[in-house]
Amino acid sequence: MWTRVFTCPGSAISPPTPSGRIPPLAYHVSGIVLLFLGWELLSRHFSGLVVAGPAETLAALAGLFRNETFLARHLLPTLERIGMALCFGVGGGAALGILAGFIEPVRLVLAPARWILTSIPGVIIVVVFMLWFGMGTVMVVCITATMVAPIIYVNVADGMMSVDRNLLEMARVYRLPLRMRMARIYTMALAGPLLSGVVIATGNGIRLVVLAEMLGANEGIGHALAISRTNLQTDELYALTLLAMLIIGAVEVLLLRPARKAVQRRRA
Amino acid sequence: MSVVIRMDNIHKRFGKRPVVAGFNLTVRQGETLGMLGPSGVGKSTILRLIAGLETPDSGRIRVATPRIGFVFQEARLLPWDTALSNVVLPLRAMGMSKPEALERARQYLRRMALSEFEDVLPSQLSGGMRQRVALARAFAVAPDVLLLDEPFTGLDKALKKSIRSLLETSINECGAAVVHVTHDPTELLDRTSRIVELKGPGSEVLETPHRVETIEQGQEP
Repeated sequence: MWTRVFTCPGSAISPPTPSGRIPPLAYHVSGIVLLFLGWELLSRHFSGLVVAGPAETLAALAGLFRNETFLARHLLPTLERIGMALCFGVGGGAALGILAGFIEPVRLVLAPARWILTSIPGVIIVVVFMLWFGMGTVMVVCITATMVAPIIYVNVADGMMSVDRNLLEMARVYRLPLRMRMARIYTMALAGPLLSGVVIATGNGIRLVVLAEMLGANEGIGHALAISRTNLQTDELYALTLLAMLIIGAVEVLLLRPARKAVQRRRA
Repeated sequence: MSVVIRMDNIHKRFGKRPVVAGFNLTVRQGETLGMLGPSGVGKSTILRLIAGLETPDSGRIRVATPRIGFVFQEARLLPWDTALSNVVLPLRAMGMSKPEALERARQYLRRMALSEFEDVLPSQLSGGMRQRVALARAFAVAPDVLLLDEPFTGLDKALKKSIRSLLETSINECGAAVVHVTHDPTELLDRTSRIVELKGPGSEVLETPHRVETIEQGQEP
């Protein structure tokens, strides 16, 4: 009778390795094809007013891209807001995270504010900020930056705490000035956690911009979504949703993933 | 010979535990001092006090030069920088121009037989190679004081021998005062002129025959 059974945790937890001949991209593509198939089946089952099919949605999306008024009045303002909100949110969160990493009392003072901002539902922040700032760009940017900043702050502050103390000691022995320590040690050590935070913040940020626009703006993708819902233009509503997803995907694939790979290569 | 390191009545505690108590030390220019003792006796703390990485609870430390080279037990190289960049870094911090720093770093990597590896990241180097990069970095700054904290830890016999030989040659050339901490007497460098053996905080220093000059160790107050 066995009294103790040893198992290899790695083999139990690790997913089976995909066949060496099938590239990972093929798995992604098959996942997308499956989603589209499921979507098509649903759209055949329900009325077009409830679920627009993939073909109608793609046609509506193409129509949106051809519509210059939509591009100027809705897409461009949304992209501007996303850009501004991410700049302020990421910049502010990173600056506070670095300060908190250097100065313990700053971290302790900021802890309650961080906790409040990460625990309040986004929709409440939207309503409160609408009362404070009224409708429009300022409100949308402030809401998104306020919600994005804590994510970045937490990642950067934790990253600062985990910077290799041995390297910092080496820097002290060789009298590296602060500028050099920031550029050569902190920046490189923080790049990983910061980028992870930015990936999450970008997705959340874009969702928040659309939500805030839907509730309190006269232009933007969110506003266009609200109009489509009111007019029961389901294909356009689905197309706008797809567009928001495409923006998130584009930012991740074109900007964040290459940056992350570059950092991982250097840190290897 | 002028004094480059002077430690007077140094006390250092970590929490309630005294690590260094009433320690006195004088190291002169060009001298190689070996510091022996078992783990936890405070040898590394003394090196860290000299390097300014720790501050004493009481007592006075004077180091007559800002040019200190420190070879730690681990190489402590920036993992995202090449071997060359790691050696260039402290030279740039000293205010050396980029071309000058690059030339000097290459010269010291060549001495450590690492010319072919200057563009390689530390993760792609063996343990011995990484330690040689750390040595190149320490010697490139032309140190007046060289602190060696068990630099042969984790190296096999052959590597130990080769790095030891590189160390001896480089120290002979640069003429720095050396404080070499180790728990193993066989690791002491051939040019060691004095040995301090630490038994514990506030304990008497065992003077090793024929090479010990003067060393005082006070009592726990």
